[in-house]
Amino acid sequence: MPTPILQVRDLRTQFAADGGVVKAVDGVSFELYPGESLGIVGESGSGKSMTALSILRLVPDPGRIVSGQVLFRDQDLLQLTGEEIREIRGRDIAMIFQDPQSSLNPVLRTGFQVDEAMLAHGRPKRDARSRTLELLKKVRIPAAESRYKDFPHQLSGGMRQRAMIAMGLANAPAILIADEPTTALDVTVQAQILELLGDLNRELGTAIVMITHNMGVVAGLCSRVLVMYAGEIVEQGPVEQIFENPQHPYTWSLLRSIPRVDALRHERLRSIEGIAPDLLQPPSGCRFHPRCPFRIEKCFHDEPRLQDVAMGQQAACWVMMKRAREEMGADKLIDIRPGAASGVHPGEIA
Amino acid sequence: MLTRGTLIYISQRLVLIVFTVLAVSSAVFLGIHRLPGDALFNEHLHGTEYQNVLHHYGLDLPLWQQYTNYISGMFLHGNLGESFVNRGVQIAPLVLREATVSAEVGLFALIFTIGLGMLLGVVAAVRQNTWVDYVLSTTSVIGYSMPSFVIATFLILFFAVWLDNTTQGAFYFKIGWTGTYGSIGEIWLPAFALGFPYASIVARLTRASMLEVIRQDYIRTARAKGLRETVIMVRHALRNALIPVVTILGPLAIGIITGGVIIENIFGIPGLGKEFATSILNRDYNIVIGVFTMYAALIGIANLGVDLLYVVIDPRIRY
Repeated sequence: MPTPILQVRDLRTQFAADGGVVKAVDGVSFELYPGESLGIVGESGSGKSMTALSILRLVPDPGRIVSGQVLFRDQDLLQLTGEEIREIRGRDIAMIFQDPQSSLNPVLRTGFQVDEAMLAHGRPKRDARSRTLELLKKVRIPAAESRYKDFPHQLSGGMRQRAMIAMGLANAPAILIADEPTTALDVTVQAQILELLGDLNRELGTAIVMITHNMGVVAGLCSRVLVMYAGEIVEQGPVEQIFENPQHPYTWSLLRSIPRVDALRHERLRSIEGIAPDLLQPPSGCRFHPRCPFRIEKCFHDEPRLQDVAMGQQAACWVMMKRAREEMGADKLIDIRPGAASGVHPGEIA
Repeated sequence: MLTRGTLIYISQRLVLIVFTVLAVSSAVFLGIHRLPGDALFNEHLHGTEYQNVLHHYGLDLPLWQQYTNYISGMFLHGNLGESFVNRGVQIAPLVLREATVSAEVGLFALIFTIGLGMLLGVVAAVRQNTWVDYVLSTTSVIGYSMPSFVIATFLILFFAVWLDNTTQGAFYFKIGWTGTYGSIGEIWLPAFALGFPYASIVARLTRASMLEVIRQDYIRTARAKGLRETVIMVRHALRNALIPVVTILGPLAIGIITGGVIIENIFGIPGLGKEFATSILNRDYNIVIGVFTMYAALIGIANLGVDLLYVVIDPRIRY
């Protein structure tokens, strides 16, 4: 195993809210290896974006990173001064965002906004400009010279996201964090942007952290995936393995909720019962138990930890899908209400 | 920036200003002839002497003819007639000079309004919910609750009277106006009095607008690029925050122009506002019409200037 370029250890990010503290990221640990592309998936509010923003210390007010370490090249990013982290941002670790419409400044020329990423790290002006033109071509923006002078509102959505990617790659960073970069785009453009990111990952060796709620995006781009639920990682491992043999019921449910081309005609699409938990008062025990069809009594009060389930794959569950398949008939499950497969309902516990 | 469309827009607006000026001067001309009183009353003229003077001003003609003479004189020869009180004094150069003086004071007031307002607004936003913010916010509430003539009175009391007394005349601010256009030393106090209430409004608006803008996604992008905080605030936040400020600049400019009437009279500045008051008291109707006409033109041009500012500040707006 090579040494990881980024190590996140027990990261906790919290928001002070009216009724208490929202634990948006609650003890997340993972590694990122050079040149790798890692997916982080989860529903809205699972803490995936906050994890990404915490790495570069861009958590919006009133959010605070309360503990943990983010080790990049042997320094803890969370301990750096404001000026030191500023130098890391955009130079060593770059980030692109969900909505390219609102993420580009409407009153500045697109090309100049790419220039700025380099000017901020001491590159001379003329040099920056010629590199910007080169980058705009690299991200396949046609007529780069005239696009350079355009304002963001004069570009299409896909074009804007390409410009954002050019901005992200400006200083040839070691890591590019992409926070749902395709969510605001239409499907054909999504595919183009993913292809572009994949190519850049292979050509330039930039490690990519892909934040998404879309399992299809992960399948297309990533080699490894982290599944987040309610601020915690519930499963992680190589993409093929997770897709083929998910061990956490949440991952299993997520995968079942994707429409498939090769599905039987009458097979219904499965959703996940219930709603994402309130992070002000997260459920006791396993946070997924209020929505889990396979829960057992232990799930209500004991919190499971990540444990190895296969080569490179870890999941945090008291039951695991292996047992759910063998003992609870998970493969043929129609009723997916909480406790349906295991027969454990709250009233019977008391 | 000056595209063909913008030039067309400017010429359209200029034509519109001409029509506005025509409408204002016509309304004032016709209205003023319905008023009682006589500018020549104090001269105690009688008989042919009186008739000669009436003939000199064309006042013996029927009203419609007086009107057409006045309008054609204004638009064809730039002639606004002659003063009733000071015989032989042409009004056009007089009010033009006075309008320049008023514009000068107004421009300085506008610099105070925008400069001071923006500065205070940005500082209050960046230091949100600290004592700096509270002091600035309180100051701006006081600023826009007080009319400019009250502020002017306090400024005179402090800078001219109190300073003079406490320093035994060694250092104080002289209230007055030398020459036609005054001097920087004489202009800043009236300009400050005129601009301060509006500066307070601009400060409040800038603060609110900055707080709105710094939550935007593109500010996060700017941070993620590794830009310095001052660059983010000035280049990325302030430019966007100014868009709503420019919107109220139109009404503010008008407020400054009309507010000048009071300030000029308090500080004794020989501008359009001073003439406005004097000419009405003298019943010098020709000058009254001329003053109104100049005000209409001044306000029209100020509004056009503000609308053109949009183009400079927001690239999404093109005329």
